[in-house]
Amino acid sequence: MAEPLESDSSLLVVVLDANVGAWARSPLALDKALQQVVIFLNAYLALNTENRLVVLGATARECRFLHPSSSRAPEAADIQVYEQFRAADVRVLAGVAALVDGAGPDQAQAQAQAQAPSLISRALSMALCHISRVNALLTNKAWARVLVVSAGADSAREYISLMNSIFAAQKASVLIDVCKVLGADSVFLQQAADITGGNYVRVDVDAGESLLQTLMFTCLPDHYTRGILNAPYNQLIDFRATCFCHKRVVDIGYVCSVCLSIFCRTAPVCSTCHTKFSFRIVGPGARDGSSPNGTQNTNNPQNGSQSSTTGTPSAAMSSLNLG
Amino acid sequence: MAVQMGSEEEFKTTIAEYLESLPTQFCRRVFSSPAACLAIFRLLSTVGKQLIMSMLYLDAGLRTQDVLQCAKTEQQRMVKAKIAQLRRLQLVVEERGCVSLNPIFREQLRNALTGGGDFGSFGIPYAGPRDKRVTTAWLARHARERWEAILHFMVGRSATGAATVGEAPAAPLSRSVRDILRMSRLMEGGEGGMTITNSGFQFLLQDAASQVWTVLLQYLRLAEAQDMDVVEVLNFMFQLVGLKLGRAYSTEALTPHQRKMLSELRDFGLVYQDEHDPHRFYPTHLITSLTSGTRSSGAARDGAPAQSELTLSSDRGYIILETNCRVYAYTDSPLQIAILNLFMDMASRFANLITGMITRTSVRRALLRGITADQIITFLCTNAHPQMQVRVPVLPVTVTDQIRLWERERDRLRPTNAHFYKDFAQPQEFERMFRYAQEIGVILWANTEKHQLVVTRQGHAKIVELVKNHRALRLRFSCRQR
Amino acid sequence: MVKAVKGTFIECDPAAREVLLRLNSEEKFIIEDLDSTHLFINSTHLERVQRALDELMDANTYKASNLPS
Repeated sequence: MAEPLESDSSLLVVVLDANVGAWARSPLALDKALQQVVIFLNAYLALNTENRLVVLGATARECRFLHPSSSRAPEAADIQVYEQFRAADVRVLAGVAALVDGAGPDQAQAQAQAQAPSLISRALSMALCHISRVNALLTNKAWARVLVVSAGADSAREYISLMNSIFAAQKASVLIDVCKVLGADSVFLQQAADITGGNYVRVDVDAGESLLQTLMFTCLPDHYTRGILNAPYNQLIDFRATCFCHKRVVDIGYVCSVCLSIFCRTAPVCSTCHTKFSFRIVGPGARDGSSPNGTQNTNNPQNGSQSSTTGTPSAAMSSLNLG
Repeated sequence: MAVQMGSEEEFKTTIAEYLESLPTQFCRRVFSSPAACLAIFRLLSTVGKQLIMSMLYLDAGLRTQDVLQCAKTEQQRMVKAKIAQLRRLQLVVEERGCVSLNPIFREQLRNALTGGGDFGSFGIPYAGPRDKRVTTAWLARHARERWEAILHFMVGRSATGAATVGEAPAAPLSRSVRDILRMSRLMEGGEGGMTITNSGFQFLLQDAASQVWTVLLQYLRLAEAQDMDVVEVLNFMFQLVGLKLGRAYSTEALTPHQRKMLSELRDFGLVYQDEHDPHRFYPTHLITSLTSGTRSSGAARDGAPAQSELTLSSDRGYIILETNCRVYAYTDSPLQIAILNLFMDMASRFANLITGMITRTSVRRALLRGITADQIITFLCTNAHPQMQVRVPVLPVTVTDQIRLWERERDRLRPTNAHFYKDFAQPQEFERMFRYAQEIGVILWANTEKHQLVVTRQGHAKIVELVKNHRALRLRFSCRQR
Repeated sequence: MVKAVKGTFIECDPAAREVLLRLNSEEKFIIEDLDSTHLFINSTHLERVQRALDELMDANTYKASNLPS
């Protein structure tokens, strides 16, 4: 991968968590936050006229491209604003309003949805697809990154798809920046930032931190500038994984030796790849040989518990310390 | 590509240098418009932009030390230099170890981002009915025609340039255009007999953005000479840079100076204005693409007009250069043929193709006109045929090396203005002077046995000073000027 | 008594120096022949000398006959 040059343009995909339920609990109202995000978007566009911007809105029910979108920005007579900025600003504000309203009519349903976290993983995959499409069309590659402005909590259901997106991003050298506006630290998004080389920042609005200032400071630099500036200090990152069976965050779990799926308790068959595990206790000195159930591994002592300490050559289902 | 960006940078620094030279009160007035702030901001280096954005929404200053700490250790010196540059541009103030943004600049850049402040800083759109004729493509063609007419005028006046091309002379240019060409020393001589200068030849080989910057800078100088308000000119210029391509703007709110400027820029094709309808004008891509690092290597762009539309006359690269120095150029534009003719020998011309060869004589001819090898190579590189663009490096190394060697060949003597000392009365005297000159680092050549010394001209002044101070030692010193 | 002379200091290769020495025999312009790669000359003659050297070097270059057509 070539080094980024100063003259290279960037492609920024912003994933905006527009979950009304989550924002309602926030000390920073959604519209206030939105204003600050819009200023940040303008600042990004101001950096370089060739900078491209994509904004995605995500709620618990759907994800949608807010900008660029097919809906034409109204030819408003607002002459105060720079042309290039206005098109983006108008679409983003209108788009978020539409998303929020879309949740409105059915009150009961809206209530239920408000509790559910937003579909961040879906938005991330859309972002990555868009990035790869844009880069396929361009002759000179734009350096892409994703910024997730997140308000909601982690959703354990999303773990697998999120992780897949993260590794895809890493492979495509797409940075994922995460700006967590409220609530507890997001375990998954921390990992997303760390694995892809992006920044994870949490804005404590109560403590007087400004969302805009944080965005400007940590999320604005492009690939080239990040090679010059130090990354902000990152606290210890929670690398724990979620089990595939009950979507619980686990410290110690079991890993399928074929497909590396993680489980919180032993199971005779891997639910992901349908490998049947052999729980036959094999004593020391037993011959490696043909496996009765077709997996590559034949030895599995002690019924799968704490097998890593026993020193056997391999295990059909090994436990992994994930802490 | 790197070379090309380099030349562009050079021209951006010239506008930056111009801004640096402005006195504080002027700067304050320039900064009073959001459009100007945004345009200046876009001319900065990437690191400079990031520094400014980091400070934009901070009310208190940052400690310089802290800012440097943000950068990686090996890059701190570079960041420091960038801060110094921002300070010279008067964008930041540095006092008591703290840096903060110039308050006026901060306020107006914030306004630019949020859409507040000065009414109509980004131009007032024309409210009347649209002119169906004027589309983006039409404007691009119009601007191109105008701009090429100027370039063609320049080449047309070179004795050898037009001779082989044999085209009719370009349309007569307006007085202000000719004034600017003469002011900028791109051409010289009186009315009727203008000839192109060496810097004019260099100008021809640059990319369009650099050329436009050169012209705009000259326009500023011309405005100064005509006692126009420089700040008004600058602000209007920056406003034009921020306008949207393909949109009509109203001339209603413009001052008389600005209207005059508009009509002059019209002659350059930087804006378009219908003679019968003076109430509106359209900016063209020549001016709206100035603050972007325009690159000619046809990047596909969504929405915005394709890059290829913005490069002059050639839709894409058109030159094929072979390793044996032969050149095939797919063009029928007399202007391009004339430019190519500056540094190559033409062999044959067909309807849409010319062939020729880069030879020692042809390159020498270019070098004698003050064109450098790098300029030739950059030009070939920028305009290389797409089939060549995909190769790395774009041009055959044999040819680029040969062109550079031809340049070096002419560079057998390296002259420096200097002073030569000889016939020292005593060895001690020589020793003292030698040591002093060594200390201040001005020695070009010295022979300690023959007691002879050559120092630079600046060094001579300092040594005379030393000698004067040692008058008490009765050193007799004669300075004979030849 | 020390003498200070204003002029132009030239750094060149030995071949170019020989040419300059020959030109000097026609019209004096060298103030001091410093060593095999350095000369000190009268500034007013610099341009003429440069041109003369260039012409001489050009005359001594092998030229391939024109484009084979």
